[in-house]
Amino acid sequence: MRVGRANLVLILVILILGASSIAALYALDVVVDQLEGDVEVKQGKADWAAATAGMKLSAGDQISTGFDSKLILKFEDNSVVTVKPLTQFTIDRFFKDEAAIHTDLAVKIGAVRAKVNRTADTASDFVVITPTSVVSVRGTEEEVRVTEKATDVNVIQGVVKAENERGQPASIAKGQEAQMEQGKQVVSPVEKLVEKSRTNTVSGFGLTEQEIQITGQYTSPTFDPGGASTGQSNPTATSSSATTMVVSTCDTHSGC
Amino acid sequence: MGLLKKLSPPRQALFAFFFLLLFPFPVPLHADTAFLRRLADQPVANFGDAVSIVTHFLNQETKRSDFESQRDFLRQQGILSKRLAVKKADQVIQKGELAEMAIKTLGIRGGITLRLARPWNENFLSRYFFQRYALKEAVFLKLMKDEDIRSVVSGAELISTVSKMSEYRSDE
Repeated sequence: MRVGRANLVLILVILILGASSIAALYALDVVVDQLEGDVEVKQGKADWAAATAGMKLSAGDQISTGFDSKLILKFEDNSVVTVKPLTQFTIDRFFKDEAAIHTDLAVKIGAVRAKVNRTADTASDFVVITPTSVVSVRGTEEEVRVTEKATDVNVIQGVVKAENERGQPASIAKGQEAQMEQGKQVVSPVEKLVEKSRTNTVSGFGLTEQEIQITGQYTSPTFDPGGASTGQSNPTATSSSATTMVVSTCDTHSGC
Repeated sequence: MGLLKKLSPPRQALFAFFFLLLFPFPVPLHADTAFLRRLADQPVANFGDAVSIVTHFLNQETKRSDFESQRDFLRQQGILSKRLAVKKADQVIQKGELAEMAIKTLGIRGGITLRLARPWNENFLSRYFFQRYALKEAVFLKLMKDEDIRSVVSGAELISTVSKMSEYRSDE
């Protein structure tokens, strides 16, 4: 009998704990702040309908914009998402729990610009999922463009962590762009710098400390245009690979 | 209706006002967005889709709703070459053909190779000269991804290209 009571108490405790954890999760709303042109939404199982200003959207709703149209969505956590023309996406989830506010946008095609509101007291987990990548906003503002086989990420402010379909990560800082193409490695900011150095021989020496740090962090042996696959600088490399030498040095010295 | 006719005109107007307040006209759905959603799911886009989306891009879709009138309009504008204009709506569109349409729609003159290839646009060598360099130009301008000129275009790719064309036009 005692065992039975103990079991009963255990079940009650589990139920109470479970209920409290469920109660801690609550869904948040998204409001259509401004819109121009043809914008349609599909809420739940309902048919597609024209969006109107002030309309409330929630997780699971799909949005589609037409030609010359624009949509600005205001999230309950004061984050703002601007949806560009010819975009199709779904608000996968938007809820708050004890740890953070979780936002997932699944962009099928098109471009969105997200300005994520970050406060000291509430953490934000803002993720843009595309067919070729997962982009999580660590900073404040970014633009993600999705084409059929690639995702372009342009960071306006803050830092963005992006992963391609194979899980290869890249950290993209303010003012930088990265491209994640289907079946290919992430074209990270450092590769853009190397590419730039090929056209401008002195650009490598003009790197800021931040750029050098990023360069060192993401340098891999494959970036060496001199052909050295070890990551060591190639003594026979032309002056255009000067930046790569800086890159390689950073790579070999862990101090970078 | 008979009851409504018995009312005086001001009362009829009042009735109509409250009726519309209770049962407002539904906001009409745009055919554009429905077309784009359908297109995004198509693994292979056809020539009719390309003609339609380019006509939409030029804001001419309201005047020209059917394939024939859209195709004739694009032919008049010089966007479709004689060889392209004879294609049927349900035939697949190839990458080189889309590049040709994109470059001509945006009025891009291109580099020396594209300019040299332009006279061959109307004849059977178009594919090997004009379309090839049109695709190279489109890749250079980041409108399209580099692939074989004969590869088929998916619906999503067609939308992406037009989206980038729109961005290019606004940047210009």
